[in-house]
Amino acid sequence: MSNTESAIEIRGLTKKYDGFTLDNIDLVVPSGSIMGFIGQNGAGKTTTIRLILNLIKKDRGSIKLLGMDNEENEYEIKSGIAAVFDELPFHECLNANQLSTILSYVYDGWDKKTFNDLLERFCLPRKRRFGDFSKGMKMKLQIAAALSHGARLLIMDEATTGLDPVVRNEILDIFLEFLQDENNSIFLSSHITTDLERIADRVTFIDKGRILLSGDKDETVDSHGLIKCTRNEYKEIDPGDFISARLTDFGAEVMVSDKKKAEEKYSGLTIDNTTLEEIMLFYVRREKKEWK
Amino acid sequence: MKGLLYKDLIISRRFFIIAFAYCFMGAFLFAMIRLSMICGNLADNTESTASLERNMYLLRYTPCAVFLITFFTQNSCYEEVISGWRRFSLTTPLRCGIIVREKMLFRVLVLTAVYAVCILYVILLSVIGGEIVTPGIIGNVTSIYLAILALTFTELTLSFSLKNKQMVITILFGSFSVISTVLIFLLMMKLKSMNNDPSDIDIFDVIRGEVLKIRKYVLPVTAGAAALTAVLCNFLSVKALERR
Repeated sequence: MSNTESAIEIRGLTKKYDGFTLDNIDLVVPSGSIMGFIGQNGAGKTTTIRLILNLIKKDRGSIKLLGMDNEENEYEIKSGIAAVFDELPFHECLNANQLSTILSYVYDGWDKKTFNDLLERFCLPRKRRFGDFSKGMKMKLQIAAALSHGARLLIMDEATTGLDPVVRNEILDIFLEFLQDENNSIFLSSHITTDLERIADRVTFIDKGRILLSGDKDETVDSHGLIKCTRNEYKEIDPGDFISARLTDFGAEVMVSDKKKAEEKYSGLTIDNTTLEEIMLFYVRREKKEWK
Repeated sequence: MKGLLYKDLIISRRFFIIAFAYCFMGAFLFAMIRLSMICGNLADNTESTASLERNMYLLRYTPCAVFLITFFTQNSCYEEVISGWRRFSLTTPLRCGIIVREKMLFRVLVLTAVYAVCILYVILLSVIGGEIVTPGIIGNVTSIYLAILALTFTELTLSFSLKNKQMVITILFGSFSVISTVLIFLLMMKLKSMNNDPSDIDIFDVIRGEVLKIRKYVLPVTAGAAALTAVLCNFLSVKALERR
């Protein structure tokens, strides 16, 4: 496999369903980085991931993984990637030893030792059936399987959803270890923004099938700001300067996408730092402009 | 493919145990009744023995029911969809053709194992009953084996092509109902054409007579049907999986 700069490169990706359209998506995940893919339920995250994995056919556009077209070089690509889903995709009557045997025939690069080491590290029993595993154990098992065949790109769909904070932190640490190798990359979809705030290098916001924002996480968070003001002060803010505003009993919270410019223009107002969650919240309600 | 076969074997092993338990239970019951007819209480009762002879004919084919049990207890493709394995397998380097052909091969292996057991069963019963194993019985069991094989390939194709299990069951049972209705209609026509007193007609004799007439065609037709469905199953299932 060639050494490439982009782990994922999506151009003009479109997929139409009855009542939903994934519309002209452009997305780049540089090699060695972790991209957080954020959006509310039904925004198009899972559809995008399915298209990336070629589980469904696109209507238009191009998808390159590890520098190769995901349809033309499907099987070559799939040797070098690993997908982790929110639910365990293995039969519940299997155990870890049996899974290792099965996957050793599926992946040429399957490393039994790495898998066993990860099982040990995660305190996962080898002979217990998966049906008796907790949700956290199932997720750790999926990650152990994903990291045991030399994948260079991990694609995860809501992998940390429903897990307790301890397990989530453990898993996030493993992701960071995986990224120690600069050829490895992670594409992580989630609506738990705190996880992404901790580990993501880049973030992409998707809403109603469209990309709202994509870029470096720190730059995105730093460039946005939240103006907290009274109703009267709010009335003086130019609607073209903000994304949307939350009206409260005590005043208003206004999300601006250019904090520096807002600080200069509205020097009398307090502009606080913001979080990915708040950015998502204000962008999702951008059409209403004002909301409570 | 080895890994997938190994997976299916592990998942299906409890079903095999059930199927073979049924088979051995049937063999045991048959042996008990047959031995009673030869040297037990039933040997002295000529009338009962005569009526049992016909039942024995049916009982001889009871292992064929195991084919059906095997068919319905096989690891369904929908279990793979429900467990998420199907989606996972499509994210691996496994080609669609391999996924389909493994499922076909696994079913052939399972049914062939059951077929071998059934043939052994027939031979064993003939030995117990002091009879000669006729090519007819082996031919009939083989025909049933091939017919179930064709049915299982059809079910496999539908499983890969249709969106849910209920649709597959509906289509299979719908087809079965249509075929049954046609056969019953043909039988009624035959009975009508005989112009005998209805009370004189032994319906089993009529069916047996009709079966005997077409007997020589059954084996080649079922073999052809199994081969044709295998080719179609491979082609259509791979297409369905690739289209997704």
